[in-house]
Amino acid sequence: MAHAFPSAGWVEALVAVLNEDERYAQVARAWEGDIVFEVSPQGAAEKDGATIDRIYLDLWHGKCRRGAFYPAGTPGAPSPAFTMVATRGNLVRILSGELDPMQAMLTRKLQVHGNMGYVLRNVPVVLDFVRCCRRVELAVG
Amino acid sequence: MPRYLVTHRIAAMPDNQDEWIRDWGGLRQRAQGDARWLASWYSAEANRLYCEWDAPSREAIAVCFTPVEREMAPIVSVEEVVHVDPAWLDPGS
Repeated sequence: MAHAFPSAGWVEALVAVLNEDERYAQVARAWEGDIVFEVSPQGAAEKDGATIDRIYLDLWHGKCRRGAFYPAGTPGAPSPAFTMVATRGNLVRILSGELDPMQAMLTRKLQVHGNMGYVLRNVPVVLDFVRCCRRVELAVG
Repeated sequence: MPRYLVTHRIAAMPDNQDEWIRDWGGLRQRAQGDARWLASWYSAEANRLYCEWDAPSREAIAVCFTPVEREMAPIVSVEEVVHVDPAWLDPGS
């Protein structure tokens, strides 16, 4: 089933994928750190807190303990270990395989707030997480 | 131009994304003269960075790195290598 991105349905589907994917469970077995993706409709420089959708994922030792979608204007997103900031367009490009995640980080198309060293030491986890994200079918549009 | 494979041990990681991009961007600028940084492969498993260079000499590569970069990613080895493309083995190539 295809899901709009970002949406509660997409997050729910991703959590299911992460929790049943054996490869992810193995690759991410040592990962500790929850993540918020801040999805802005325009360029990062133009972002406005009132227009940012947030995706919360509590990633812990190869599983996702909780996932939640906070549409723009909805309070309550936890303060995570890592915050990833990008426009919806760039995130969709990553999800579709058009934009390499490493390239996105090196060009700030995907901004990373948090311990960068931890992220780099765990690049295989990041890349396998993206692989799992790509397993969730995106609705066109 | 000889091609080299430079192996770095990762001794320290950047604290944040800006530092990472600034460091790598600086090396990119310095590595466009006699010595050219062509590509890199990072192994988290081995904590190594493998970098491919075209350069007239090992010394030409070495001068591209700042002292801080040498501390963060010390050079373990510099080996002259020869490129082999498996596609050369395809029929008709």
